[in-house]
Amino acid sequence: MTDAFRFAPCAGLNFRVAVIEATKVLGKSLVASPERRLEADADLEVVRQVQAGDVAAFDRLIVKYRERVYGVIYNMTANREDAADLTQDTFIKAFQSIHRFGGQSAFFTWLYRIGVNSTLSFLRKARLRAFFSLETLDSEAPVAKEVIAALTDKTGAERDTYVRELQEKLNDAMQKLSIKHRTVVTLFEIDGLSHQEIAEVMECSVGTVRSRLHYAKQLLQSELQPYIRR
Amino acid sequence: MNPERNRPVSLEDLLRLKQAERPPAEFWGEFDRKLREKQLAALVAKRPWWQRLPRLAPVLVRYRLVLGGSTVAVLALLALPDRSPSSDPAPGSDGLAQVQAVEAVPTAEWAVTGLALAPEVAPALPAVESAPTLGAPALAVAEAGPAEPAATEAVVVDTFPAIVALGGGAVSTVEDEESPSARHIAANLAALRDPDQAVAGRVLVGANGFESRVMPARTKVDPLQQMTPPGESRRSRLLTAMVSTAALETSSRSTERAANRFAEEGVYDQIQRFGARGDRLQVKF
Repeated sequence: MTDAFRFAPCAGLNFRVAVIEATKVLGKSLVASPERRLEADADLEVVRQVQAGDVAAFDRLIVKYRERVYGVIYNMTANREDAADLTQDTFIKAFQSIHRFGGQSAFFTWLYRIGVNSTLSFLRKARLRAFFSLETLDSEAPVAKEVIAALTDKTGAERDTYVRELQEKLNDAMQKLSIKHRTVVTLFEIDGLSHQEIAEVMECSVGTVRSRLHYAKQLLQSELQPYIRR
Repeated sequence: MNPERNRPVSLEDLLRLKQAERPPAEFWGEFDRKLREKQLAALVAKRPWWQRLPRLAPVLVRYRLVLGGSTVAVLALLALPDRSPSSDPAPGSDGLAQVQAVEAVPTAEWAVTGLALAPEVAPALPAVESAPTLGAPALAVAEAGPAEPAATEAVVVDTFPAIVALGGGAVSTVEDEESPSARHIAANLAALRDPDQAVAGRVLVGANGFESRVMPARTKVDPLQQMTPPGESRRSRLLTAMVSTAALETSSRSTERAANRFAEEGVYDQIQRFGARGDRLQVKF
């Protein structure tokens, strides 16, 4: 807060510059949690090693982020083969361009941006081609167990069938969203990124992110109404 | 009874189910193997030159003054015309004399030939008249003796002073080299040493202005063979008429078929009246 007000009492062009700087400071202070900042610093250290020539250090970044990047791309494409290919391409592009990473943003934001842009480009090219191959929903996972238990009393094979049906309904509802709306929902609801981070990844404003998220949730709510219970 | 059955389920809860869609553990082994293959392929693959340009940008920015200066210098050198000494001689130098000599060769040759044909010059030019090149006067004079060059030069100077002025500088340059013209002159001089030819040349040139060069013998042709027999000319005229009428018929058929039907009949009739077989021409009336 103090940093934000420090630039305020200026006039003219200086005032506008001060407002921009204050917005940046404020945005960073709101977004970057201590855990995220520590994580970003650790990533930057590894990136510096890679840039210095320690190519093997990049494997640590792959192991750390492959599941998250794969998850984002999989939820955008709804095809695990395409998601695997695009995730691999994302890491290769990141490795080839890592000398250009200057640390202005967190490494995972930069990596996500590469992955999201690759996926958006892929989906635009293959817009008419829609082959879904879904991963198996692990109904015993802590995240899913609670929700599934709240939705049904069924057990055994009936439960599995119900879960499979629910998974397809979810996927159909997601595929009815536009690519950008789907991306925002994926990054916010599934991957847990903040509005600011999504704005950095998608290279748009925070307002645009919020607007897209609101619209996407409205559409999803209408599609998944039978499963929502208040 | 499930105790969680009455728990409210929101959209966020449903979307969180997507987090549970995870690949099995063995998937990552295959993933890593393919990723390694792609990494190696990417390392081996040669990237196009335009993808390497961004790497050069900082270097170009750092040395922009040096690169800009050298570029301007190179462009200036390329834009300027070629100023090398060999291709741009100074006025009055040997190079200019050579150029003038080369340009003067045909003129001087014509002038020498003209001198040989002129009656008042002919007695003074026994050796010059057969020389085809510019170096001929000086060389011929040297061979003919000390008295003749003076007369030759005097006549040439009186008649074509400009040519002599141009040729004077060239003689010295031509003498130094064994050029084709010099060899030709030497051959002519050798021919002039033959007493018979020299006498004949002097007599012919001095008396009638004839050329002393030996012309190739012409083949004799019988005048009767040059005449076209009257039958042949008539036959050719008739054939020409037939061809022209046939051509007219062909061109007019495509435009007005009905109107030309009568003309075609006439043409056919006309053609049928003419008959050319071998060496005979038959005309029916």
